[in-house]
Amino acid sequence: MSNSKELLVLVEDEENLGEGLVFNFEAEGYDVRWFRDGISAMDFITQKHATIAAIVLDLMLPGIDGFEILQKTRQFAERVPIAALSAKSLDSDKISAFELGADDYVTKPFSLPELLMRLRVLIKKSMWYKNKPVQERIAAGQLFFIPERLILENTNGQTTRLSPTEGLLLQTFLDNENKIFTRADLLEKVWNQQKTLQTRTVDVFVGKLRKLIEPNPAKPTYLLSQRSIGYAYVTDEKLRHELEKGS
Amino acid sequence: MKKLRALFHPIAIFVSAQISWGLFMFVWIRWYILRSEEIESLMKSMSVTTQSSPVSTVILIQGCVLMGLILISMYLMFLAFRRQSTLNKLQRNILDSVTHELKTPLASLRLHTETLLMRSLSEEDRNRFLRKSIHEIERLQKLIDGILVSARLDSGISDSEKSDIEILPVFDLSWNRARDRVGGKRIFAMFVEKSSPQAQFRMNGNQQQLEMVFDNILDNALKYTQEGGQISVEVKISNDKFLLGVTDNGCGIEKKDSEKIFDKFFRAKSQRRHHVSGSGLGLFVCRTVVKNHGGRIYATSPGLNKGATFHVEFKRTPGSG
Repeated sequence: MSNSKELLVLVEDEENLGEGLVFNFEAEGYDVRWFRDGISAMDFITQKHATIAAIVLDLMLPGIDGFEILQKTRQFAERVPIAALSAKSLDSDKISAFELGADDYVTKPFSLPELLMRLRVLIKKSMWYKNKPVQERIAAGQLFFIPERLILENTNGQTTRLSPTEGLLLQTFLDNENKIFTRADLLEKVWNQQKTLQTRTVDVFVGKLRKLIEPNPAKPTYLLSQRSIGYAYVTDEKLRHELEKGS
Repeated sequence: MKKLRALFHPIAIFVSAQISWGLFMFVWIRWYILRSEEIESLMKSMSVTTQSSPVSTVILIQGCVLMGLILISMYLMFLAFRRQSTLNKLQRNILDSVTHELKTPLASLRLHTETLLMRSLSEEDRNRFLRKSIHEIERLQKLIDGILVSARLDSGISDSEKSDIEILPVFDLSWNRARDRVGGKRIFAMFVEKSSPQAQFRMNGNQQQLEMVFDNILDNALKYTQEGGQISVEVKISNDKFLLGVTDNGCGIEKKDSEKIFDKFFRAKSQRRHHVSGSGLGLFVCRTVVKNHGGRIYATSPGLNKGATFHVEFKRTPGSG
């Protein structure tokens, strides 16, 4: 059980479901703000995103829907972990939520202990970069990754911000240059092996990283894949040659 | 890639086929006229007089008729395609809405049951969660009933035994249920034409089915109004009919949708955008039941976000006042 009063934002228009969730989140020791529509939720997130520990977001909402909230929130608050909640269980729905910046996707009906566990993992994971030494710069392709600020910087000093999940995935690759990770490895390391998440999730996130660090994302030279096995961050020419030949 | 796909869109293909057809006809007829003029001038210069050849005119007309037939069959094929794609869209709507409508109460039920199992609750909280669970079970039951009833009505199997009933108390039941459900979150008003004695509101009908109609109409009014919204009902007598109008000041109906909303599984665009939940069955059931009772149901609305009125008309029992 969490002791600190972390601020949790719940966006859910279903009265009964929302009330039950608020009760349980509060019982877990979170400070909860519940919004029943997208517009008021967006107002609050815009103003208070720096103090929010995590957002639990229903995707089907009146006013602004969850997908729009995801997109808008990610324009100014990359670090707030967001768990999407939805009755839609198709892969395509999950992938579009991940692409818009969700860190986790829970389908309704969900198991309460599992949801609570995922939230704890999400919040804990969102803190990982805070323990990094100040101004550590790691080469990532032709850019530099600064974990403490969760940004990518190019040689001209231009920066792009990452979400905690994107950052943790990138960090995992950079810490283990030239090591081939299976998708299951990555799910375990980055997503704490949530069984309901599928390996497609890894592909989506690797695709996002490629867009950020590869000079030509369609022909990657750093984040390479080994067919039907997984991915590696490659700096070794021999391995690069091998993987490029195999793909 | 997107541009390429747009090129192969059936409407694009249809339009370009029409353009090529038109161009072809233009070129062909022009060629015919030029040729005729040429022949004519040639004949003139050779001072030969003859009537213009009827054979070539016949060929021209035949060609036009055949091309016309091709055009018509192309148009018919296009229409069939449009119908098919509407059906596909409908099927997606059904899946979407039924998925959401079934899973949401299930999620809530599971959440409340797990809360009861996981936490030690006060007597008050325990009862609150149990009451909520029962509410969700009722919601599921209603949805399943809706699906079954609409399937039954659809296939023409109707077990409606009609009898002489008084309609106002039936409406009152639904009215009170709606008020109980939302408490003070909506403003309710009811106007019954005072001069009409109760006896005038008798009709031949099936009480259970009529209750379902009123429940559905009021449910809609609740769903499409915000907190603090108004719902009023007016009951009037007109000759051999009585008229019931339920008016709300909610999100309204677009003119083009006012008929379609009674179709099975139809979901208005604005409704999907606002993610108002619904199975797309309620109004279909209403229309079928009202029709089976020889009545009429229709909706009027001044436009989007300007509220709507649902009118129901039934024939009164002859000689009832």
